[in-house]
Amino acid sequence: MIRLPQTLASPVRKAVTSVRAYAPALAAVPATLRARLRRGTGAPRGHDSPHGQDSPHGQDSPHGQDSPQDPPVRLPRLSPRRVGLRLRLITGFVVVAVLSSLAASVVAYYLVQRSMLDRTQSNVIGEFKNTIGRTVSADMPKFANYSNLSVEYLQQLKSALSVQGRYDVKLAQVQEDGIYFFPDFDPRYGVDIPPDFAQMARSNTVQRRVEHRGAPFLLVGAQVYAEVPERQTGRPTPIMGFVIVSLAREAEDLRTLTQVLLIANGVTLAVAIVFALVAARGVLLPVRRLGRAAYALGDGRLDTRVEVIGHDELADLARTFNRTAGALEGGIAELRALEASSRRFVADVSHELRTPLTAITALADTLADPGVSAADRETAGPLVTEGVRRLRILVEHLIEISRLDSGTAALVLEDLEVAGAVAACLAPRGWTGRVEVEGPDGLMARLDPRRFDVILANLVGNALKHGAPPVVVRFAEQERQGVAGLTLTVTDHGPGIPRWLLPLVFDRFVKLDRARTSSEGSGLGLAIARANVELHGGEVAVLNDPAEGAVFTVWLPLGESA
Amino acid sequence: MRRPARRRKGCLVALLLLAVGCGIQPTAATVAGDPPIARAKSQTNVVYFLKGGELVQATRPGLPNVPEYSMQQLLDGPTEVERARGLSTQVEPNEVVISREGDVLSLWGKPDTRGLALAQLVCTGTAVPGIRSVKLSWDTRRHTCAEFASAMGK
Repeated sequence: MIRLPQTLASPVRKAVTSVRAYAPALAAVPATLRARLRRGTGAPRGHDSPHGQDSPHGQDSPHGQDSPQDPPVRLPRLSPRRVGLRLRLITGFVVVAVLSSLAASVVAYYLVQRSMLDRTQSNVIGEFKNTIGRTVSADMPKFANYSNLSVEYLQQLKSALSVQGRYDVKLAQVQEDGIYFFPDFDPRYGVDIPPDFAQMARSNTVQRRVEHRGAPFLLVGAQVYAEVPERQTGRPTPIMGFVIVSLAREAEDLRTLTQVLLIANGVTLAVAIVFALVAARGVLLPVRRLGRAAYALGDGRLDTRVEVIGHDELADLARTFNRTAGALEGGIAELRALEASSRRFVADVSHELRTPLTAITALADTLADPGVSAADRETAGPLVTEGVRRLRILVEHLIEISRLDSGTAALVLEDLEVAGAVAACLAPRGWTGRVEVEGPDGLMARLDPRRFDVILANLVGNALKHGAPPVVVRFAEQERQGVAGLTLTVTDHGPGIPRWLLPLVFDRFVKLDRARTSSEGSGLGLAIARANVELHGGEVAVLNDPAEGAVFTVWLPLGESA
Repeated sequence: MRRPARRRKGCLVALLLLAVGCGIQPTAATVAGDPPIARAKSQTNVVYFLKGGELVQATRPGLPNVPEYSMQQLLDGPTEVERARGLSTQVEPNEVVISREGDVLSLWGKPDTRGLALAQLVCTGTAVPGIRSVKLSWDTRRHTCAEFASAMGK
């Protein structure tokens, strides 16, 4: 009771040849898969290479060979590659976050610095121009010598310009031969006015930032002009004023800003690391789960599946893994079933061969015995011949089915007149009188005549053998799923086929009665008939007609008529 | 090995930019607008010089908020333009410190008081708004310009 699908014919033939050869191949599958899965690349290398020779240290690499008796390598919890992936993820995340944060900080710093300095400078300049304009009169006399009165005036001017003593002020008088600074008795910062700056200040209000003893200062200076109504440019007064403003407060503010920005960047770094860890975890957890599952699969636990979470690429990968594992499990199960069925087939074949051989041997022994009577010899002779004939049929059937299994059987199509072909099948076997034929004359089909003969002969022979007469062969043209075809039924009027046998009747070595084995056919006839029908691309079915008996129905495509 | 190196270089560039831009950097002198315009009101100072042995008034631009500056202008003597007009002075340009106490102007140091010099000093002093008399620091006597009405020119 073996059922072999046609598609698996080739492995079966191999199995018939040598079942033993199959076992190591099956055993090798999980190990090969394991090696392939672990390495994550194409061809399994470990089993092909000579033992230990591909390793320069003469030792097996951890992922290399994995013979079944070795203890399975534990999946390392912290292999360098895994740390690398996490590290790479975190580094990328952090670098991007910190770089953008730094860029934002730099831009913010520059903007703040510029606006702060611009504001301070324009405030100072505006205040300076306003104050000195309010304090100097257009017809200001030159100071010939410095009496206490001129000093008093200069002190007034100075205190006005210094804005409650916050700025250092220097005053000068322009004379014919240059700029003369009034003596400054209480310089606050000790910053001197550079001569070129003073010279520039004669025509415009000028400003300049200098550094004095590590501290930043702003210099603003100008000569005061008097408005002359009829002229574009004013008339210069002899008075020049300079203010020296410490930018220490601005520098301090900028330092504070720097610190704040650095702290913000540090916070960004910390947050980025936290986010990166979370993200890495989100990626690495599924990867680790997949890795564990792949390892288990490689270990032979073919029912391993992973949970598909989400809709991302990792979920796709998990789905692919599950599908692969499913296909692998199915394939392995099929291979195991095949192995079992081929073992049974071989056992059946041996059994079938032994039965006639036993009979022949016994009869041959009888013939060889000198004490056996002539009458017995006459009885034994034909029996031996019959046994040998049956053995030959069995072997022929085996060869036929093995050819069909191997896929080497080829169709030799010819145009047949069906009624003629049926008659040509029945006549030589002496069945013409025992079988009724119903069907149209002149129905043409493109079939392999020899195989058609085999199909019909097997069905009719089966009906004659197991059913009761009359056996009726009917054929007619019938279309199935849009394909023109030929339906051929063989009906007997026997008791029909037992219900349990119906689904198995086309299997090999299926017999109604095991006990009658020795006296009946090979048990391969219907299997061969079905294989030939399927080779034509047709279908075969069997059912019990309560009014008649067993009805075998064959449908064959008509093929393209020549 | 190329990627980390490039990254490190980028970091260095960023830090360098940050360091260069940090704090307040010195600049060259730049023009920050037009020069300031003098708008202060200064009263006109009256200074007494001599012309033909008589006291005559000359007017000078004053200093804002320092009305007594006319005394200094007297000590400095007439300008060239005034000399050309025939003005002269008998006040020697000695070191004099001028102080004000209420409506009295005190002259310290060594003011020249010979001849019409005292008249010049007193009249110029009392011409200062708010000043009614002039006194010499070593003397208790307060002079007014009325004392020298005989010397006053037309």
